[in-house]
Amino acid sequence: MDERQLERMAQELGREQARDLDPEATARAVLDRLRAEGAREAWWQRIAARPRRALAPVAAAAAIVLGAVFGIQQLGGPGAVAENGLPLEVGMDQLAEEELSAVLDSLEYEAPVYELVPVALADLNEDELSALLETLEG
Amino acid sequence: MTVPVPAEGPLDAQLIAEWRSGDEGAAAELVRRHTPALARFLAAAGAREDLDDLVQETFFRAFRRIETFRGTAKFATWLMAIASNALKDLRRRAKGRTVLTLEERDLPDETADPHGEVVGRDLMDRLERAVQGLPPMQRDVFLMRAQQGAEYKEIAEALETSVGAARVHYHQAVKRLKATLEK
Repeated sequence: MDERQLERMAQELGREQARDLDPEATARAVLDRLRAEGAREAWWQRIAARPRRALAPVAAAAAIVLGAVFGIQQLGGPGAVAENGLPLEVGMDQLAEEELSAVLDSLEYEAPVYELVPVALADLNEDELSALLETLEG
Repeated sequence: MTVPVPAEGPLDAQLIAEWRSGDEGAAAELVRRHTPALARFLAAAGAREDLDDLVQETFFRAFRRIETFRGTAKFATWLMAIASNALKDLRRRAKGRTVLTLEERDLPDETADPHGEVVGRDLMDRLERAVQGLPPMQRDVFLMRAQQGAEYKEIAEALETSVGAARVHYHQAVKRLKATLEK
C-alpha cells in the first residue's frame, strides 16, 4: 500500500457518520448556546457593576444588621442577663442614671433598681448614710 | 491536496470579522460551512454517538475564544485542533464508563455484500481502528493532512508545534498505519 492509497482511504473516514449530521440544526444549537451564555455573562456583569452604585446602601445596611447581631451575641444573646438583672458585661457603674432608666424601661423591668445593687455601708458617704437612716426610720 | 473552499460567499476571515462584531448570521454560516468536514475529522478520530455534541462543543469553544484566532492557520484547521481537545476532554470525563468498541458496534450485515465490498469495508474498518489507536498528535496530524488536506505549516500553527515536528508525526503515523494494514 502506498501513501496516496492511504490518503484516499483516509478521506473516506467518518464520511458516513458525518452525513447524518444536519449543519442547519447544528448552527441553531450552537447559536442558542452562545445566546444563553451571553445572557449569563451579561447578568454577571450587571451584578458585578452594582456594588459601586445601587448595592452600596444595601451593603451598608447589611453591615449594620450583621454588626448588631454580632453585638447581641457578644452580650450573651437576646434576653441573657447577669445575676444583677442587667445584660452581661454591663455594670451599673458604666451607665448614667438616664441610661440606666432607659435600659430598664426597655426591658420593662419594674423592680426597684437599688434593691439589686450590692452596696456596703462603707461605700456610703455621710450624706448618703443619713438619707438611708431617714428612710429606715420612715 | 487542498482544503475545500466554498465556491461562493464570503471568505472565512470576513465571516469571522462579522461574528466578532456581533453578527450571528456570520457564525451560523461558519457552522454550516465547516460542520461536514469537522464531523468527518471527529468521527475518524473516534467520536461515536456523541459526534453531534462534540461538533457543537467545538464551535461553541471556537466562537467563545475567537479573539485568540490569529488567522495564521486556516479556520478549518484551527477548528480541528479545538475538536481534538474537546474529544480528549470528553474521554477524560467518560473514563470508567463503558464505551463501545468498533467490534461491538452494530455494523451492517456484510454477508450480503459482494466480495470486493466486504474486503474494502474490512480494510476501512482496520484503518479506522488503526487511526484511532495512534498517539493523539500523530492521529491529528495524519487526519489534518491526509483527510482534510491541510499543509504542514497550518497544521503546525493549529497544533502549536513546528513544521518539522508535524512532518515527523505524519510520517510516523503513515508508517504505523501501513504496517498495521499490511499485516
